[in-house]
Amino acid sequence: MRRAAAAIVPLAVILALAGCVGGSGTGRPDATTGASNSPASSRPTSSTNLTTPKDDATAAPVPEADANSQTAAISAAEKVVTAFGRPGLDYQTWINGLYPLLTQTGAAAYEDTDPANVPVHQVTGAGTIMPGSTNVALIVKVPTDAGPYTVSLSRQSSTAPWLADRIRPAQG
Amino acid sequence: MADEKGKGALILIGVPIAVIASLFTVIILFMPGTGSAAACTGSAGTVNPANIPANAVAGFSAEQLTNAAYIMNAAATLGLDRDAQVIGVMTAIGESSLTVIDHGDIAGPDSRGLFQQRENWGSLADRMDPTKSATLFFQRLQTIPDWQSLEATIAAHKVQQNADPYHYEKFFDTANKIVTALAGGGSCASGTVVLPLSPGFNMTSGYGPRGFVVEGASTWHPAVDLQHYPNPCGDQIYSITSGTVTYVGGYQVTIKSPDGYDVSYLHMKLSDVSVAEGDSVTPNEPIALVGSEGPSTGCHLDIRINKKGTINEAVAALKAGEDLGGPPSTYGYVNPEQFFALFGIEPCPADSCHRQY
Repeated sequence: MRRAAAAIVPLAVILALAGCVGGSGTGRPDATTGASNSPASSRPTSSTNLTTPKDDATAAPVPEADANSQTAAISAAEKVVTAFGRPGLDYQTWINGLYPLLTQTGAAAYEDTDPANVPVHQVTGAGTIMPGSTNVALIVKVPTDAGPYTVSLSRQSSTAPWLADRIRPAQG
Repeated sequence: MADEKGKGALILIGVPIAVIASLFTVIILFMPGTGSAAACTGSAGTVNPANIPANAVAGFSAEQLTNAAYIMNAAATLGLDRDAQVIGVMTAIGESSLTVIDHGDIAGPDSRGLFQQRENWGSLADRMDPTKSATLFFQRLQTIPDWQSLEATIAAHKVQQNADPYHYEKFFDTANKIVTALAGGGSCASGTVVLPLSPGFNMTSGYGPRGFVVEGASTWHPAVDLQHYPNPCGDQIYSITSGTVTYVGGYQVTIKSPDGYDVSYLHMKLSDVSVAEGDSVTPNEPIALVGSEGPSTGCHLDIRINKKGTINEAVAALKAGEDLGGPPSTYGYVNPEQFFALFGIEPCPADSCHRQY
């Protein structure tokens, strides 16, 4: 920034001497923003404070998951809660049933669970998609005999199988 | 709760993760501000359990705080640091609300004490003794490879082997406050949420109704604007949470947390985005560079958090644009400063961050 400003000043002086620039040509290098080469910052008078960039941007909404994605997600969530809710199994059988249904993050978290501590025994109804779903990440609420559970699912692409990051009792 | 079943497989699988985790630790050491999990300032402090200040922490009795002191002292005796003290207190809040419980629950009828340890942990007398039960907890924590680099709740879970690995997350901030109140000085961050830029940045626009913006326009800003000064262009942006990249387009990257809220990062060039839709990211993962694309008068990061559909109670309880008189374009968007505060993070501390707006 300072180097750039230093380089601009002699150039401006030369241009001013050559009569190419008006009286305000040298400007105030210290008042420019980081985007020193943008047209806005080279305006001699601007009503904005150039040290505080402003914007009026809006974030584009992420499209909701399509019907096929939602159907596949509900099915995957019910399957993962069913595999999770088997406290009677020995650890190795339990985790081997769960691994294929988990993301890497999910596997790293749930491989330390002792299945004997899981209060769920069965899924007791159909899963529902939580608001804000997308084609690659969403949450399904699944009713169980231990109360509602939420399953956070994700996948690499719209054609990949849904896998679980988290299987948790619904909060609140 | 602990059970030795499956330990062999667990260790085998754990090795590559541990190696990767230690690589991250090395990188983190050389990148100030991209904090590791449960990163603390301040050292472990010891507490006189006979001299707990009354009302030191709102909502906790002298008895509960005395138990926290025993836990902290047990960690210090083993030579463990403040990270461990906060993890221990967090775990005991999650298991027993810091009370020595003399009964179990449905999942563990034989669970007892501050940490709800089952019979295979030790004698009933030891499990019911605050210092001895905390020592048992910390001795197991010490055996977890690279426990300091894990999210605090995951480190606790590896010891407790509970059904829900994320059970302890919501108690972290309270545990941090208790340890700070009893030991003085210092503070810890959970590693669940981190800052999007390296430290030393300024805030050039806050959240909420905004006065004069450009040419007489008045807008409602559902975001905060952050930048270093000078030379903000090209700064590395880090994901503040774990999650899945759900949108890359225009001048925007959006990442959905497993808790369901969306974090959007604005104004970068698409050519400066280093993640793709469907990618899984971790907190602190580089995702893009700061730019000035879209309606913007200079390089900065606009970061905004939409709570729509979140399953995190604390985030869901934050006020959003619709609660504060904002236009429809602000609905769902919460104040990022309040969001960070839920995770014990002050994004714009007065001593390092200038508010230029």
